[in-house]
Amino acid sequence: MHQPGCRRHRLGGGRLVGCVISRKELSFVFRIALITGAFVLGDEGAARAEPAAESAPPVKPPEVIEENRPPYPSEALIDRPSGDVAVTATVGPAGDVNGVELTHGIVPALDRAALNAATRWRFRPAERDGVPVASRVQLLFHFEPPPTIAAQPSAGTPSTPAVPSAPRQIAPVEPSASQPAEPSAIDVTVRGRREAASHGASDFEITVGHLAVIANQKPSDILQLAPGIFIANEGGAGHADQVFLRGFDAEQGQAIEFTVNGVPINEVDNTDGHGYADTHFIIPEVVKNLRVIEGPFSPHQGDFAEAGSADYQLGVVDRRLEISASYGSFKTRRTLALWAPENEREGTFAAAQLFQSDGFGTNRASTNASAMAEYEGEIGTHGLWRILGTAYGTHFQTAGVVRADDVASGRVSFYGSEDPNQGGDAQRYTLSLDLQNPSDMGVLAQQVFLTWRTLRIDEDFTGFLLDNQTFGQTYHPQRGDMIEQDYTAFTAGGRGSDKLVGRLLGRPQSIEVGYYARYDHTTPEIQRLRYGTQIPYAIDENLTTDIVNLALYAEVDLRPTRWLTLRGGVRQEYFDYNVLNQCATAGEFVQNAPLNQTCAPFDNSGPRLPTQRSTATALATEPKITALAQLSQPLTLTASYGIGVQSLDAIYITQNERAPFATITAAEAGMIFHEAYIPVDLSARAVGFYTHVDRDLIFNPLLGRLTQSTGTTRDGALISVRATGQWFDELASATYAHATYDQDGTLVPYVPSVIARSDSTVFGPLGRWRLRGHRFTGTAGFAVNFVGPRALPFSQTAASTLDLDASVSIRWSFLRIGLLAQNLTNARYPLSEFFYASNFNSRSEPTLAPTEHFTAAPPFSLLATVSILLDAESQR
Amino acid sequence: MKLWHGALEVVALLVLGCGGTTGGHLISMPLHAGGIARDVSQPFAFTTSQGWTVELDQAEVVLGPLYFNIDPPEPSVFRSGVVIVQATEQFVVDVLNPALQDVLGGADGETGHAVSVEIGFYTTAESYNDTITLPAPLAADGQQGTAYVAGEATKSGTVVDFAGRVQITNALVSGLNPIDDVSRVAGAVCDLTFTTTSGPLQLRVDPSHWFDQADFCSLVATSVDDVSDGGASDGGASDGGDGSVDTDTNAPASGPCAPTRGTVYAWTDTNPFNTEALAGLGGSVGVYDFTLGQ
Repeated sequence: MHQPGCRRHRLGGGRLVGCVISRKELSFVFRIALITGAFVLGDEGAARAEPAAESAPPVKPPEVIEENRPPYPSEALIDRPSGDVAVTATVGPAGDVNGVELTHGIVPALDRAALNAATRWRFRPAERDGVPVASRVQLLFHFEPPPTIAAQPSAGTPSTPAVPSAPRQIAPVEPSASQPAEPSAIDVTVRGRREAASHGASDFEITVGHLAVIANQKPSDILQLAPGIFIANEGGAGHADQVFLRGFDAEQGQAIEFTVNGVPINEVDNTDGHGYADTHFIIPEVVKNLRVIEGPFSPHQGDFAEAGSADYQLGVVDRRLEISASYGSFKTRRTLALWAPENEREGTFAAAQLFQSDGFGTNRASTNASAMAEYEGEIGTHGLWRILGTAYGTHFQTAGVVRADDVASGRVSFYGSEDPNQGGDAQRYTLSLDLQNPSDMGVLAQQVFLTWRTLRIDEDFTGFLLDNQTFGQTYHPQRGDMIEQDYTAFTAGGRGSDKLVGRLLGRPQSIEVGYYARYDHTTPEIQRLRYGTQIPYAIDENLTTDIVNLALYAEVDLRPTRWLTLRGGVRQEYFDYNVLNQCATAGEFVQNAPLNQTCAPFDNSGPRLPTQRSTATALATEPKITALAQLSQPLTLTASYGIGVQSLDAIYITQNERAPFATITAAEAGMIFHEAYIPVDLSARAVGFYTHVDRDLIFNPLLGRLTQSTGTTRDGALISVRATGQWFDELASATYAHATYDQDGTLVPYVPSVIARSDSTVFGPLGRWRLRGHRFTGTAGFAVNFVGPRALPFSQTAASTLDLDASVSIRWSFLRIGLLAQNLTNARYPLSEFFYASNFNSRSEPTLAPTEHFTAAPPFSLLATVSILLDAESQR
Repeated sequence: MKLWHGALEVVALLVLGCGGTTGGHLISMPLHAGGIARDVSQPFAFTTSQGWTVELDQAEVVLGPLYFNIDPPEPSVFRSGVVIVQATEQFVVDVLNPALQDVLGGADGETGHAVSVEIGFYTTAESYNDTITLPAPLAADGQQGTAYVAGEATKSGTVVDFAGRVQITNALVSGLNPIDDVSRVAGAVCDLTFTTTSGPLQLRVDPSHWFDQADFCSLVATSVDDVSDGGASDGGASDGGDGSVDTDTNAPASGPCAPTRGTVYAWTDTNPFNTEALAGLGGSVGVYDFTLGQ
């Protein structure tokens, strides 16, 4: 098949000829021109086909099913070579690439990339007289370097790493009766998003890939693949997870800036904690990558990026229609429908899931529904745009904490509950529109987003401790400490950037300027409920807030030498608070009043209105810089320094407060190793880090939320290794962290000192078995999670834990069956431990002194899943 | 797998052990209670601020729970501050016995310095459900008392024999005197530094101030007889005031009241003496002495 501009090439010693389409593309896109031909091999896999005779059996050449396009290797960006790399791939009768051979190379970096990519191609095998046979194909990879040197969409920007688009068309190979089919030229225009630039060794781009078999049940499973992350949850299935990262107890995400395709999900002034981030609305099957930057080292990172940032990047690589049904322990049921049309981009998909479970133990039932849909389209010849919509709702029960002495005495079971009235509801709706349009000068990106969020949580940490009688009041019985948190928020915002590229000192240099704007209108309210009812009797907090966060940043990407990259800039952050306290007199009372008056029209000085407004603004300057020194081909040393800020909870804002934010100072040094030992790809990282926060947040069980504390300092180290091959994928990491209070040097409680994790999968065809022409493929995964001893209050130490999960799945044609087992050893251990005073009437008299409380980790569970998949694999 | 877990734990513990602590410690200790140290061969006698000389034959009190607080209590609320140590079981103290007795359950909490202690009393008020089983004489004849006292009170020649229970009942509860206030000592003074090496917590109860506000004459049905009949026994009838001692009473002509000889006076929960004695039990200074043994 000839197309305009086609030039015929003879490559190597092969007879294959074909077309290389040379088309002028935008400077930042990559061209991959493929030439396929049918070197049909005999049973022994002969290298060349004999000239066809008139009586030769009909031959059908192999057809491409799955491509793997290599991005332009970063190690080649220094010299920026271009040209064609030809690879001869041997395709086995099963359609897999059994061997690759460099036929024509350019430079080692490009050659390696092409060889590595070729090993991952899959074909519908060649056939001779209807029988699959081995064959050889030549793949031609055309590399052209981008003029825009690795742009940096870190957490919070709408860009994702460069990923080849789906090919515009794949020309089918039509066999002739007497000779091998005329090879077709497959011209692919790669229209990708800006590739993320590294901000040091703690900048992790996590592709789930085959690890999905073991780490794809919840969005937090994916987050745990990042080094140093430990997930707990004391609030129930609909409550945000508690996240620990590098010495930070980020509670429900308050110290991590979470985004989904650049849409922020941290909730300002949430009643459970300022910065609360609930990722349960994300359907894990539509998560393509997760980018975690540990530390505030990128000018793209904004509010809440104390410990770092996590950006869930959505997309469905394996195009398909999938319907799955799962059933498992504790009557857990999940239904998923996923549609990712074949001829659309990875960013086009629609998915919906329904989930219900009785939960383990007592009072842990939950129900939720989530829907996510995105369309990714093209603007002009090189631009992209996306529109994303999400909807989510949940209702859940919570077991809450139990007292250790009640469990020891048998009053409450290990998986029981002190107060069965705990639980909550939540809804979330998001709409986002973003576009990215490259030009000759650079890349322009814009995004706008809207979010509506409601949340209600009932939690009881202290039982009957706090509702004390006051002198002069009419006697009231102990009404209980149940906290009801109600939160509603409307968020609107946008971000944008423009990157300009030029040359200086003979090397490409760039500068990017950008902005971020976010407005939140929230109504957080906290009440106390009479035990066993939904009747409130007191108000702890009742606010109406309007918060504006504006930011401007500039970042440069400089290459003073061939081996040194300096990447950094400055971000200026502006916060504007307008807080109306609807109940500023909460707790005031008058002697002989019948009961405590909530929001009383008086205070200690006399009559007044119960409302009070506070306003404050603040401006912070955050410099950030990263140096990358490539000492040799696979080894890069990095060093980073950054200042970050975190806005304060509106409840702490006082009139004209000058600096209503906490300041984070961080530094780290590390090493990045990446080498392709075809067919194994090996990468490793090692980092030493330091972080200081001048005003930290600590969980207060008496209030059921985070409260301000003094400054803290954290330091530690991590190591991470990932090895991927044709039949396996291994990701392992270990992190050490040490966190102390500046005031007295004591340890910050609850933070794990050591976190180690290993996720392993093996995959591939199950022998030569076939049924009706379709082979069986299998995937097995195994995960080990070790959490070292954790410092607890009062010099206590929580014991270390070791959690094992395993999963296996088998696929035949359109059918896949999977089984996931979690907590294989049925280990019984506290997932979260706290020490504070509570009174759940467990003794004849109230208990007012501190004691141990905990939430139980889930026991052993099984989940079986049956899936129907209509994709290229099912059509083979 | 256990080997790997153990190895990882050793490494992690070494790492954690080098890093410091979170500060403070949880502690627990025995609790011992008894009367003040004295010579038991001698009667226990004392003089109240009202001028009564009291000789106790029997005195028992039900105490608990105990809450040791780092702050003095706020006057506006019934329970405030931070409790660092508690003893949640109720116990009976024979305040005339100087031997310290072990209290079931002991005390537990955290290290720190306590300056006040909240002491609970046994109550039969309906809003409380004190479950301790009281021995006689604290519980008898269908009645249950916070304390039981028996003895003799003398003032200006008037001798009142008394025996009975100091009770906390619904009759004492009102808006101005809620049960939370009536049934406890809000903040008895103490000065205790709890450490990980602290010995047993010891409580000695001194009843010598229990009756500082009490008038024993409120137990007596009749008042002072205006004798004028030369002291003849007339059943207490007025005899014109001749100053002679009426042989029917224990009161001299000039005594505060005229109790009947040989009568042991008791009281009900509504008698002023009950409230006065209860106030004495609730004294914040000089009544309850807490120390930490070696």
